[in-house]
Amino acid sequence: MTCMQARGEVKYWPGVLALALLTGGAVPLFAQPAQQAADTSPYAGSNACEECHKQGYRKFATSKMAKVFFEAPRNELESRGCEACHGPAREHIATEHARDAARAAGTTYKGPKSSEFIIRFGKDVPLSTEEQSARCLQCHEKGQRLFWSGSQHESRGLGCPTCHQIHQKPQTTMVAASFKEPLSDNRLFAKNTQMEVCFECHPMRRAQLQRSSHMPVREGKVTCTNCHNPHGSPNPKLLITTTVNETCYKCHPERRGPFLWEHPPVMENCVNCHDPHGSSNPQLLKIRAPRLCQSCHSVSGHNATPEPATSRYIFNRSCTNCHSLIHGSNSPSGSRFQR
Amino acid sequence: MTQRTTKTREMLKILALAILLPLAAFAQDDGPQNGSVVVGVRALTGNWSSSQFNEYRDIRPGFFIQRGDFSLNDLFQKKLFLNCQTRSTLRKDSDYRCAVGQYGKFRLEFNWDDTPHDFTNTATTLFTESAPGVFTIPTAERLLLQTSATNTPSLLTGAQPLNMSLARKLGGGRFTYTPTAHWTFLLQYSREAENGFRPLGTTTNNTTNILELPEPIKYRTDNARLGVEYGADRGGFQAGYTASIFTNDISELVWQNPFNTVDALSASSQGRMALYPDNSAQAVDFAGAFNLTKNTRVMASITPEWMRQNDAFIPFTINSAVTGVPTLPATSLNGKKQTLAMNFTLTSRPISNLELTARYRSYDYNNDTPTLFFSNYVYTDYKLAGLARQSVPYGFNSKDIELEAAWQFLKGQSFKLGYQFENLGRQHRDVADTHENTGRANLNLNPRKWISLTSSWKHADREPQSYVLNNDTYPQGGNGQFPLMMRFDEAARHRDQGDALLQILASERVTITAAYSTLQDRFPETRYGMLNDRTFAYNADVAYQLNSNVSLFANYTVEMDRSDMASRQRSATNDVANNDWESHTSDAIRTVEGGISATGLHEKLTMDVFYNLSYAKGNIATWALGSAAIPGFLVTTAQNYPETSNRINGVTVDLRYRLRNNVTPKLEYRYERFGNTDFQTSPMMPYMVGLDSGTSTSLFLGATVPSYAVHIVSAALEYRF
Repeated sequence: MTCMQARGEVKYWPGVLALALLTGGAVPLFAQPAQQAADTSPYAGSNACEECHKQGYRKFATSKMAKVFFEAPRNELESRGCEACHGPAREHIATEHARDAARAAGTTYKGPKSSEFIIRFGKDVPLSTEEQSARCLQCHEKGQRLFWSGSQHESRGLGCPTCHQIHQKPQTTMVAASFKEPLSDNRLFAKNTQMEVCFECHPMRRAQLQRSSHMPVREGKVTCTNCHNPHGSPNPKLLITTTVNETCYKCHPERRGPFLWEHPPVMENCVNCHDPHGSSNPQLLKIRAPRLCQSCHSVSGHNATPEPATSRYIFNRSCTNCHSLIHGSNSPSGSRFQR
Repeated sequence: MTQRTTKTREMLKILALAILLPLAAFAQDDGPQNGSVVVGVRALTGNWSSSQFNEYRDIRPGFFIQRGDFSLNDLFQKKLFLNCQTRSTLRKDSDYRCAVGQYGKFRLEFNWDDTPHDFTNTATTLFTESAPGVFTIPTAERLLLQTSATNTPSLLTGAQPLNMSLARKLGGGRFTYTPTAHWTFLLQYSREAENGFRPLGTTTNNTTNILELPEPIKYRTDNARLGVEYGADRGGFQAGYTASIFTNDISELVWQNPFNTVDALSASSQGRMALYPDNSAQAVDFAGAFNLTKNTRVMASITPEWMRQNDAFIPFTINSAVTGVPTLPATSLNGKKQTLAMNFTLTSRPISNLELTARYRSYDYNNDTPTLFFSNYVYTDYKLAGLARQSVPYGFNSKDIELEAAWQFLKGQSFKLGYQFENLGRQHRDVADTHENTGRANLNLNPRKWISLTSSWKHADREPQSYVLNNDTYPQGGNGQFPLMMRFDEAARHRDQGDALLQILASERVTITAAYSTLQDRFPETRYGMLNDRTFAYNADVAYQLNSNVSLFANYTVEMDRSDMASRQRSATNDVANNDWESHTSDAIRTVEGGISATGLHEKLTMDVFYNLSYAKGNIATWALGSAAIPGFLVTTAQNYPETSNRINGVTVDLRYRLRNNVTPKLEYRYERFGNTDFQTSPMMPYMVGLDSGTSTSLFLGATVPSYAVHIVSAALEYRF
């Protein structure tokens, strides 16, 4: 199927008429008076889809998308219902009917498959991921998807159906093995939870989030999309804000400053010292203090001394036993972050 | 009530609920479902009062509402909807969310989120908070301590336990209006309050009196956003205004020195420090995208932000005996920063299987905060430091150019090449200008339906144009920084980063995943400071569908973090290479998960058994590079630190029986265990003189990270209505 077909420009419908005549079947769809006016249209309407695809239709009907499509369409595309995404269905239906007719007549149907005349989504379908995504982007190339084109995930061959599904039940993950997630009404994921979707390709993150020093991710207070926008972002690391620090300030605005005495690596990038995805060191530190501090600081006195483990410069919070305002101080006597 | 009594009582409740609720539920009819609720009772045994067990959650014995939700549609026959959700209802970690609206038209959403954060449950102190942010000790006790430090242990037996935890409460609302499919308007507001205490180190009189205190937290943050978006076939734009106002109700911390009741030079009776000042940030954001042609799209975003802080300064010292203290050069900072982030992206598909992308990113961090010159200052309320200090407005700007070509040579198979150049300019730092060149490649292969490989590699070279020790903060000297020490965030660096993910559908029933990732930083021109920092991670994951009723899975991950650094122990008169030393840090973390999920009795009964383990070990080895035989050898305390380890593991057995379509009783057993051995936190007590004799006039909180082992049994009922 070509890209043009993916964009809803399927022009096979004259063939349907010929096929229907050849098989000698009276295509009931064409006989319905209500459809008379639409005879020239390649679209069949969503009700026709429901006749055969009851389960998928029922699942879709509960979604927000269906509520808009079926009850409050805002433009012509939305008013097409199922066919807004799957393309015009008349030829698909006619083919099915032709096959039914052949079966009823006791002959073997030798025409094309009905699936060739409908746009399908998923892995094992003729349409490329990009072409499938193009269907979704007809409506969704805004909001968080504004920067989808050329984004990290898009350019590595991922598309909307890689993570989302509309009709199918998500692949079940063991309840006990799932991380909790913040409350949301977005349930159109290919897996039980959003995080399970991300872990599919980022399994190390799943392990890292289970370390002893962690943000409340597995407790369901924070999730991947609190910091990252997987749909594409102009910012580094697909962050939803302009920098790492801006992202951290969302929950830690007290560290924003400006301060009288600033600690440059702190001000520049929180991940100079912290690993937000989890650490086995206290306070999400990448390296345990004092070695973390000593990788930059060596002055005469205790900073440059490899103190023993029993020293007050080492136990408890090490350097920050005294230099506790390490994120910045606003005291005139705080140039060493002690006041 | 003892935990044993609680256990018995809760067990009875569980039994009652397990028997009665399912029977009661039989009376319910199947029908259209608009919501669900999961309620139950829970019993716990073990040390479930551990702060680590409760770190971000609230698991208590007794009745609980695990979650609930309901949705109503076509309200008042006007296509209105209402849906509400809750989780951990009425607990310290509860969540609530309610939305009302009209599909495709408008939506009004409210949410409430409680998040606890327990730091430790072992902290005790002699201090009491006599006023917000003011910590005092009765004079009689101080006099005893001043008389002789040997009185300390007996006095500390009367130390009071502290609740070292924070409670975050976030409430907010969001209104979106979509008059047409093209336009969306947004109005959002939230307020977050954060209250409680967390451990904070303080020192008074140089390091004579290290006094660990509970830092009082009384924060409030107001966030508001206004936004508009237009989207059409050929592109769209977004614009918004965001404001964030942070308020700290306790702007300073004052404490009495337990070991000194009268101010004297070099012997202050009190200490004072500034806590986080109020601040504000406002930002305007613009983003737009436009399809120049059918296959070419240009995208841009521009976000200027303004940050302000102008809290009044506290005086240099609270020690009345320090004389000659200079006048403050200003009463407040008048801190101003302006950032400007600009991103421009052009992406095009000249042919259907080739995507070319060019990006330009500029980020300016302009610090317009005035420079203040302090002719002198008071060091830890001890005495005048005798040296000037100057606050300097650190700032930086980065400019990135990025080019990428992604070629999809077969369906689902692609190769991507990219190049990035970054120019980073910094103000008032050791390196004024840095260039970094990055090359990267990605390969996605999917040669058969049953196998796929995604991989990437990146190599980056960072070159500081010059490295000159910056002393702007120290106009009269006193930095003391070792001039050959290079700060790792500015030093020359070679970075290699790679990852690979192999997914194999071995059969209809078996899926195997293997992954590898590494990040290796080397600092080739650094003799002192961080020399290298390397991480490696391996993962294997197997899922096996035994039959339509039974599935198993297991995964195993090994992560290793290693780094090396070098330094030199020095004194004012001894600065020789024979006192160089090195240190190697290594952390190894193993994560194991495995489980079985089985259904039976016509898919009515489901049982999950799940095991998880995260086991981390850390080592720091340190050795002198010089020889003790050479005179002036100082590095006598270089030693390997004791190994640290922490282990989180658990077993969960979860049974669910679908009694009716809308009624599912559940029974769950969980065992959770956390073990922690840490030379830094495990030995902590309020008085540490046994470990370090230099702390005879210091007090700590005794804040440890306690281990725990807890059994949790819960019975719950899920009811759909």
